[in-house]
Amino acid sequence: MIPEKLLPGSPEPLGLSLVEGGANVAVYSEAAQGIELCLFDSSGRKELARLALPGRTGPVFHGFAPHISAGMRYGLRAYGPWRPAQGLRFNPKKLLFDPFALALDGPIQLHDSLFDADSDSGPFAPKAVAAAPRLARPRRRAIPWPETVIYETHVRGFTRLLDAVPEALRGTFAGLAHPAAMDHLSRLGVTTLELMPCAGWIDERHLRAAGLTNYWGYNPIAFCAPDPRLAPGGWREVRESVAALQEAGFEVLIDAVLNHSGESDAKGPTVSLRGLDNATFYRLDPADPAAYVNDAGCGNILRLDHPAVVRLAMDSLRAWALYGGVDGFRFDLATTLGRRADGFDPHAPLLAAIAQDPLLRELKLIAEPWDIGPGGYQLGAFPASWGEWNDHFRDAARKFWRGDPGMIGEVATRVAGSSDQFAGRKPPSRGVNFVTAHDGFTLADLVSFERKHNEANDEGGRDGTDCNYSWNNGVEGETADEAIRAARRRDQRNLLALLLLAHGTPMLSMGAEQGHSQNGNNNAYCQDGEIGWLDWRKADPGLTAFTAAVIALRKATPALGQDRYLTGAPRDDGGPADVEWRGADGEILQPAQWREDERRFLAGFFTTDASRAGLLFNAGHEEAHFRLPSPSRGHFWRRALDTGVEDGNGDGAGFDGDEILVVAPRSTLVLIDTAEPETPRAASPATLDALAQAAGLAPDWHDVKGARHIVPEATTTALLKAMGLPATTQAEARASLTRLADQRDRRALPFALVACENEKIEAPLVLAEPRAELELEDEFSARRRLSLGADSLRAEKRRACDGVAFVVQVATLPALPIGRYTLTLDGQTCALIVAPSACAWPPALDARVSGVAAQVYSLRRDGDQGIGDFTSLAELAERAGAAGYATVGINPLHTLFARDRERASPYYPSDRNFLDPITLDLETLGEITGLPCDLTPEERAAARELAEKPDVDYPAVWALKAQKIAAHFSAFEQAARKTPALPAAREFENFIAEGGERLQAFASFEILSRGRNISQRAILFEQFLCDRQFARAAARGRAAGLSLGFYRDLAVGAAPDGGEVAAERGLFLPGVSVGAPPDPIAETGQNWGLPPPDPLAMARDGYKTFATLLRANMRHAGALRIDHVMALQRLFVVPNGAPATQGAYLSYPLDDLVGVLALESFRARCLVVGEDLGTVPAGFREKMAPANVLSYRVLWFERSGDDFAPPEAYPQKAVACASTHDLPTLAGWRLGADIDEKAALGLMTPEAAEKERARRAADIARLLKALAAQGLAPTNPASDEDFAAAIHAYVAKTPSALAMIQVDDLLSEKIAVNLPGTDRERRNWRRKLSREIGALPPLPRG
Amino acid sequence: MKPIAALSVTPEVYPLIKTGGLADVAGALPGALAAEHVELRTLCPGYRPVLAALENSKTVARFNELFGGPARVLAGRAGGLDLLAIDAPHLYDRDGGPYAGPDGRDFADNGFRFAALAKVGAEIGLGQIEGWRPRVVHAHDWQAGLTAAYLHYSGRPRPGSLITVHNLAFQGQFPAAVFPALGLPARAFSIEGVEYYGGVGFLKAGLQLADRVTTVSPTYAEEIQQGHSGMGLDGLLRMRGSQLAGVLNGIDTAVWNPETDPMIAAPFSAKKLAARAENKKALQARMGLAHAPDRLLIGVVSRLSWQKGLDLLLACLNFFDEHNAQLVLLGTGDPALEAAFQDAARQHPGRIAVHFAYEEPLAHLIQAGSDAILVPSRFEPCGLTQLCAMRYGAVPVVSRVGGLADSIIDANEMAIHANCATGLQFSPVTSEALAGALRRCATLHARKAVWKKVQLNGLKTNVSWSIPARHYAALYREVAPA
Repeated sequence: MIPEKLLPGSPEPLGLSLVEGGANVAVYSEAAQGIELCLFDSSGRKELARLALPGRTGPVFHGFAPHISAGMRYGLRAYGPWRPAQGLRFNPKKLLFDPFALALDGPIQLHDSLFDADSDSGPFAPKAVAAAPRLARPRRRAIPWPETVIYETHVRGFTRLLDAVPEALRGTFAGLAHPAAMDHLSRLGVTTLELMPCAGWIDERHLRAAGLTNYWGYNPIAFCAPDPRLAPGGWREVRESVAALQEAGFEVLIDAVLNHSGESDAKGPTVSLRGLDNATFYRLDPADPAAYVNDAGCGNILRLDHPAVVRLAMDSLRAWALYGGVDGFRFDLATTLGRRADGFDPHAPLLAAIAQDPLLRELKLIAEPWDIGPGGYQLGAFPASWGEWNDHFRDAARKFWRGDPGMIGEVATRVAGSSDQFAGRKPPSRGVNFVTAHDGFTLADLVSFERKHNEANDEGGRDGTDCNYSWNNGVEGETADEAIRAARRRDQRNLLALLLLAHGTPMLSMGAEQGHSQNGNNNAYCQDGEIGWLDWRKADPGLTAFTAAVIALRKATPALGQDRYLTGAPRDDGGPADVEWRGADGEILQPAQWREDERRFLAGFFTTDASRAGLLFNAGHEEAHFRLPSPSRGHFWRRALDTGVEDGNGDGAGFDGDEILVVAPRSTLVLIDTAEPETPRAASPATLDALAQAAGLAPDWHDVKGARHIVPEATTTALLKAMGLPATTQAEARASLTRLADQRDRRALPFALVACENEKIEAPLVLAEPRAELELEDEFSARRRLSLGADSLRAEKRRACDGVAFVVQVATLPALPIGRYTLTLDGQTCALIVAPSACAWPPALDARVSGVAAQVYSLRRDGDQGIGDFTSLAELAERAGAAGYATVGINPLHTLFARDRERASPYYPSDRNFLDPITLDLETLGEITGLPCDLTPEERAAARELAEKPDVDYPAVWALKAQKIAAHFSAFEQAARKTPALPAAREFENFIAEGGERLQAFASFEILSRGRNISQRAILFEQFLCDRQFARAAARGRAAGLSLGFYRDLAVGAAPDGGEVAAERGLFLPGVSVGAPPDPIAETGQNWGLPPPDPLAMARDGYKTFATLLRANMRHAGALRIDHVMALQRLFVVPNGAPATQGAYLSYPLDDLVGVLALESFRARCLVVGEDLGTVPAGFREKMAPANVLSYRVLWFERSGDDFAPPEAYPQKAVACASTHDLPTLAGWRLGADIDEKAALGLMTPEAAEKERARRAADIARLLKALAAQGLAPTNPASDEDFAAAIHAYVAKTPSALAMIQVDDLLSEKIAVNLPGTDRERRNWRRKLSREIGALPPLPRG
Repeated sequence: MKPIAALSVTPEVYPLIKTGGLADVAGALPGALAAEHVELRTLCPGYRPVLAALENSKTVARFNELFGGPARVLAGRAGGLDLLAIDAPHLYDRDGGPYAGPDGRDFADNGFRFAALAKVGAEIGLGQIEGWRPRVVHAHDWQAGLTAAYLHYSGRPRPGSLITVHNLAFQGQFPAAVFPALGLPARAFSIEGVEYYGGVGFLKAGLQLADRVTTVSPTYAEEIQQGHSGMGLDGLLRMRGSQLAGVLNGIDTAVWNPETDPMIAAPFSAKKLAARAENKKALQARMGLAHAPDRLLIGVVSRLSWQKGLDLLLACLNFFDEHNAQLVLLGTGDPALEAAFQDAARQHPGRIAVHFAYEEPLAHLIQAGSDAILVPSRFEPCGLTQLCAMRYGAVPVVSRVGGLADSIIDANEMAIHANCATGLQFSPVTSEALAGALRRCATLHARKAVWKKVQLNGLKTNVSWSIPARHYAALYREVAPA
């Protein structure tokens, strides 16, 4: 029912208040002459009544309208003069909106009638609606400032495109409170929503022409009513939605725009305050009251120092708090709120009113602490309890990550809470840090656009700031270039990490966590559409997950985002300061360094009693190598975040103090000081892999059938430990990796450098600066200096095994002749070896030649002492030479074990550098010493007895020889004392001197080992005699025509309890043995019991020990066979105690070792033969041939299919032979003697033996076929001699440089000296030849 | 939507190793699920081609003893997938296919080879890989069937588990003697666990113990709960009925795209449907059929087997004479069927043409050039041909079983009226019913306007992976622990 007239009513409260029986209306206007209440129908178009307010109390017009109830649409008209020059703008044709109204009838629309003077705006102006909203329930507990993470969002834009929200709710408060929307925010971990303006607003007039509307809402008319676009359900919807959000744990803040109203400047629409009381509500230009002061840049500012305006502002805030239940406000352009006529005053009336209001003062209040008026920038000046938007943070964060110079000091201040702005006034948490806000670029656009792109706003690009501190990573705007897109993703993560981990309260802007783009628009206030709305379909879920992870990290880490200012002062207990700022190298930054423009790396380590964390920011384009400070005792650094990798989440990897951490270019890394778990973390598979690879351990191996086997972790760990690289725990593994990188990769000079003659010598140097003073010393101690400058160095980027990149300066050295050199740089040395390109090729090999092979101990001669000796060897050499052979091949004569003569294997020696004195011929000792040395009859009888035995009785032979040698030594020493000029004595002294320390070490070991009374010199004397007898044998051979001389043999290793390993401790891996992977002959693999050399130690040694060993074994020889030559490239190694199936390949520096071998071969003029039987790595033989390392081809193994390969199939650079000491003799093979033996020893079941015999028969047939095909069929197939001769002729036919035959086969021996795979079961290495060798049959190679 | 990490445990994955449709599903799911905010990584055995394709691999887990030898898990990218491969040479590094040697015989140790797959899948689900812990483990077929069992019996907080049955015919049944080596607690050998008819049933274990069971179409999910289609597992499947769901497969709509397909004669689309005629012409020419733009041309692209029901077609050949229609058949299989169709082609030159091979380009051309595509399967868990047909404007004529029933809307008068028909269905699967369907097809083909509407409805149908991905994502979110 429409009242006909009004009753006087009451001046309070202002606005329309529903009471019992009607409504009281009170309107403030100091200058109006009269005010009418106008009632409208439900369409809002038809004005039903105009009723003058009958009462007036001071400036308040009032009346009581009976019968009015909720829902009535109404407006006001004010009568008074139109005198803009005096600030008076009354016009009763304009329907005015009650500024205290609690509801709007619909979105406020612009209409011409709101602007012109003459038309009645009644039907078109916004209508207030009578309402009596319920009060929101009392507020829940506030979230403390230090725990707050703010998310600035737009009620409409957030859910407008969120499909999971029902269509009808999208874009509204109810949509924001929908579980689908809240779920996103919950997961993100933000605590506080800051909603962009929600009070009823009006469009700017210029937008009408462009067909645009105001989307953001910073243009309020209805200060006390929610905008119907955002809250179609009015206060009820706001209240219920806010309650739901609070229930879900969020706080809700409203962006309150109290600095200006939507009526704009003098040309703006007349909608409310302008028509009611222009001069009271607006700050007019005192000089021209027709004009408005425009400190907010929006056309007008409210006169907030006037009680009526303060009242309006306070009622508005209280309405949002009481009816909406909100938790606080963000005040737009808040300086205006404290403006008096003479400028900003923190005690200005509105600020004072808020401070005393029991409801409002408890809320979270945040100022945007500036406006564009004079003195408008007031950061830090707002009341202590207020938060303030910190634009210093925004600018610093942007400039730092843009890569601006000289930013580290500024950014450190921001990360530490901007004490320069707030200290002494408020705690760091009241600073609201942000990188982006609604105003300006979105986060994604900030790193994708250098310039704003506001064309869509239709203001000719004039709107929006030009000061963005943005960058585009190479292309302006969208691009398909994945590298650029990745860089942008990474930059967004960097900015988010900086924002969310700094001291102070962080604020995210809507969509920053999703990569939201506005296509470069930095002022999307009028983009109510796809530019302004959050497009959930384009969301980057990885970025969202990252953001959530960073927020979670902040919450979980007390040291991050602390609410106190840091001092950096050292602590009394000596612990780390509350903050330490470090540079890219990990060192504390010094004062001068802070000012260096080019520093773009900053690390801050923050420490509280309970927590420690490091933030590493690398804004540069180079990766940094950060040496970590020590973690707390019993702690390690856990990598909790790393934007250097695509997803940005830390991998949780652990690091220790002093480790070097790679900080990728343009990345952020967070380290958390984390307690070691009770049981230390096992090394991660990836770290273990990296370490194993760096150490040269292969992860898997293939057996002969091609099946691949993975090396068990326990093996890898055990081998690494043996190499001095423990890796049981992650911490150990990382430390080992770093140590290896430090000691090997990052060493100033490599330990050893092997170059090839006539090729450029390049030395990789690690230098602080690109220049170096090198010293080069040759073998004769001649020194020269090499000054290298930038022009003679070539920088190369490399990556050390711990993943750290570094620069190597590759120096090209002058050409040098073949030889050994030492390079010195800054006290570090490098063994430089300049080697010939291949091993020696003696002239004897110009034609194809042949040789005989013999086990020296097995040779018989008249007058031997129970074992083949140097004299036996000399005799064989003479016979071979006479028969036209070029060489005599012999077994290793390495020192065995004098203390345990049962250990007879030449391939399991005590020391490979020395000879075994058991090979000495007692009868000819005198020829060397020049002293008589006849055997006594007893000795002679004993010798004869030993000589007649079929096997060598090593202990007895040695007992005889040792005693005689000792006696001769005593005589020699006596003679030498008497006759100092004794030639042999001088020779002996020279021998000792040449032998050097290594010979002394050998002797010392022998003394200890033999455990009986023998002097050091006696041991040396034995070696002296051996060397001289060996030399004489060699000379006799040469003289007899042995063109190549002896062909010696070098065992693959030495026994772990022998002299060599003892003397060269550190060069062998302890607790590890060389072996072989399973093959058909040894199905469980082999363990040879020999410790492998340590490849890292070999390089450290400059390969000196290896060279010495080669030299010792090339002595008195024209050729050297290297047993298991694959050891130059790799060895199958097995931890002691593990079965051979659990071994792994360990690699060796093949090229270096071949270089060293070539040099020694060249100097000794000694041919090299590589025994390459067994599993040969692919490509290995192809490397050996050009290095003149002869391949070793045994007839049995050279096949094509099952058939024997024809002679022409043998390579030229090879030794061809019929059999070896490890294989049956030819006669034995034909008989199947080896099979019988195995069967008898139980190594083979009778059934298997039977099968083997059948296979043997077939093989014999094949061999006879092959022989026949060459026209070599034995004349008498039953004769062992004929059989052997045919085979030898076959071998002789090959193009191989050297053809070898065994004396065992010349004598038709049936039993092999060795049966591999047996040890105690069979007396290997003892069987003597059945008779003395007479004249040898020649082996023509025609 | 909340991103969720999940692990797919599969014995095959396209394009690395494929013997059946399972590989296609496993290969398509990661990409399709990414759009649903599911980060799906795929675990498969490190067969030789898998390891050879793996780029930038890194060891992420090690097993000192995995059914007879040490093993490691390598992470890397291969075939566009984020892959985890089990490098266990003693199990997977061998000649032959994924299940059988070069001699065609199943590997004797398949039980351990795939118990290992399941074991590693479960261990990863339980947190074996530092820094990545899936919240759902999705197993495929019997080979991954024990995954749910290892998870269930671990006694540790575990991720949600899912098993998808692509083909119930393969059940992974092993003798009880393998049980002790599986490393499951003794109580697992029971009817509530992995025991099945006195042995160990890998698929049975999965069906029994996974949080959810899916199969590749809703109708197939229903069918396998019935005695005759359940292959012995119907009782268990009925018991799990409330956790059993059918999710139709999709097809790769980038490969099957008539607008860009290089294997067809002329590109076309719903808007340019007339251009389809070129393909029909090309198909008729290629197969030696009479060029006849208006004659009904029916295509078959199928394995020739009892399951596919093509013997029924042999009983209906007079249809092609009576209605002056043409038939193109592409496929290989049962030699008896091949011979019968060869005869038919000889007796109907210009009208029936056959090609016994599988040629991808010809398959595309048949889809693009045939008026109708016939799929008369006796059972069909999902079926792919009918989806391709819809995408290519060929009207599918299908038996009402399994995925065929679910993916095609029969062009009955109501459906035509409602403009939602996409093809023709017939039931039961007999030659009489098939003949009836062919006659209906001829009648419908004569109603040009209606035929075109059915074609367009098919073309508009979303047959991509996006819809199944949504289903799977929803299931993942249901089973993921809170």
